[in-house]
Amino acid sequence: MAQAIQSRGPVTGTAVTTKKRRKFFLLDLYGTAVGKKYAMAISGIMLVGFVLVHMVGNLKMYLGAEDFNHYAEFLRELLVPILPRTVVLWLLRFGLLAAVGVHIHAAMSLTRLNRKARSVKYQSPRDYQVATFASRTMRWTGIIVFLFVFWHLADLTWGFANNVGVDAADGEFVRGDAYGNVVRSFERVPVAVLYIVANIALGTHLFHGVWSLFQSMGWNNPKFKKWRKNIAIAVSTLVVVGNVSFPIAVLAGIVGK
Amino acid sequence: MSHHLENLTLKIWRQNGQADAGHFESYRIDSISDEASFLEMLDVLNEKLIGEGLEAISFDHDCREGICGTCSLMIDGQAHGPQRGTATCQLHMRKFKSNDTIVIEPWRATAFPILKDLMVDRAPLDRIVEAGGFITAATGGAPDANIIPIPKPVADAAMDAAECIGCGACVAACPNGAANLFTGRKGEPPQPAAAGPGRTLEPRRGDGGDDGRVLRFVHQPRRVRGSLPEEHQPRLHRLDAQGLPPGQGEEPQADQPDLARDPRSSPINRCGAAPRSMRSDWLLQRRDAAE
Repeated sequence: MAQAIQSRGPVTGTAVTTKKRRKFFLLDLYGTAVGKKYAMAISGIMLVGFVLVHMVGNLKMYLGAEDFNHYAEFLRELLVPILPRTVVLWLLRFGLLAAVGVHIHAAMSLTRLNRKARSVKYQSPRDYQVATFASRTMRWTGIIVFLFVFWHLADLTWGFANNVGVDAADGEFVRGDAYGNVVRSFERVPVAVLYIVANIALGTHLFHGVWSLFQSMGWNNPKFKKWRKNIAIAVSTLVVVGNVSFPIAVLAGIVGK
Repeated sequence: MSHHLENLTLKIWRQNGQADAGHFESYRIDSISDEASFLEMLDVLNEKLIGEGLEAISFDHDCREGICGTCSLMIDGQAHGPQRGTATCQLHMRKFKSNDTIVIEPWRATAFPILKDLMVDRAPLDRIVEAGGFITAATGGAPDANIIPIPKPVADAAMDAAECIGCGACVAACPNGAANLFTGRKGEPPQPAAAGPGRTLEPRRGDGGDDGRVLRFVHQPRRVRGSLPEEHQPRLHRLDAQGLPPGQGEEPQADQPDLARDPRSSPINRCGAAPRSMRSDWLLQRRDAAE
């Protein structure tokens, strides 16, 4: 009589002694899915903070060239009497770069864990009940935003993309003339469209990111659970509406020379 | 007056063991009562297949009253099908329409290897529960209902605590194939039983984690999910003529219970959660049949 019997592994987690030496607790934590989610959430909070401040700062555009360029110069002169010019700006930039690095590394290793946990995918279409469109497209919106940031830097920080497709008569990228550079960039319709599309991708990413970071950090007490979605909608709407208004304002002639 | 559904097409995953790649096969149900349960519809199909000399479709089922957590099935891309909060066995054909095409797939997760067709091995969930520790205690028969008056809120909370029947749908539905919902549910302390005057029914910080139980839970799936070392991978053995697993010989070892004599003494059955195929009554029947 054929009987199937399964030989079983150790019954308790403590029965297996791991030979590996204990790692530094932060690395040990980062080795777990929960730790990687913490890393995603904390670096995400830093990046959301930057995106919000960036949008609010850019609203100075509506006050005119002088105010806007003064604000750009102010960023370079943060804490100037205490520290030399641009030092704080560079500290912030390195902080953001570190956050981006951690965010991408955690995302990649979580994706690897995800693939490993379901090595054979469902062979028929899924009918998702809970996972939103935003949550299922995080990888793609993330990649779109990442690539867009390179364009954005080339356009308005490094400047070499700022002159593409612009008449020589309209002048060239001028370091320090943030207002003029923005106007020159957004007067190119395809570029304005690119900014709008990229910001919608960013908003989609932020919606799920802001919502899920509460879950990742364990801030999901029933008392404020219902606020999580509202906060996520508010943050992503604010960022998208603010950022998308800039190219539209330039094209509509509200912001211009 | 029951109605009948006509001309259903079923696309069912067929897979002959873990080594097989598997494929969808289409079947036609000409007519079925809308009062039939989903599993009864599969029974009818299997009867037809057996009558034609074809191999029946393997799927898990046991109590068929929605409490055991044995049935599974990904139906039209939803775990347990389109009806909220019920297991597949409580899904009825009235939820479908004539001429529907219904796609049926097994749970898919690396931790749940497909045994055959729609049947998967959910032993990792048992290992998570075992990791939390268990005791053996004679508790006698179930007491008569209402002998111990239980206040309604406590009874409700007890029902909530018992809501997870360990079917694995959370793992199947999770985009990450994670057992976090199961683990979280089993990690909650049995508060309703402990609730007395001045005690809260809400899980409190530190509850359940004080003895490291939840930590052991959490470390268990880390080994199980995808990265289980070879020596802990589930293995299937054929028992030898004495009904013993290979390597146990004629002489039962002193510290090994005599599985052939009394399956109820096997370490498996001292565990809180034996795999469904290994429950003692099943083993006893099989042994009696062999003798």
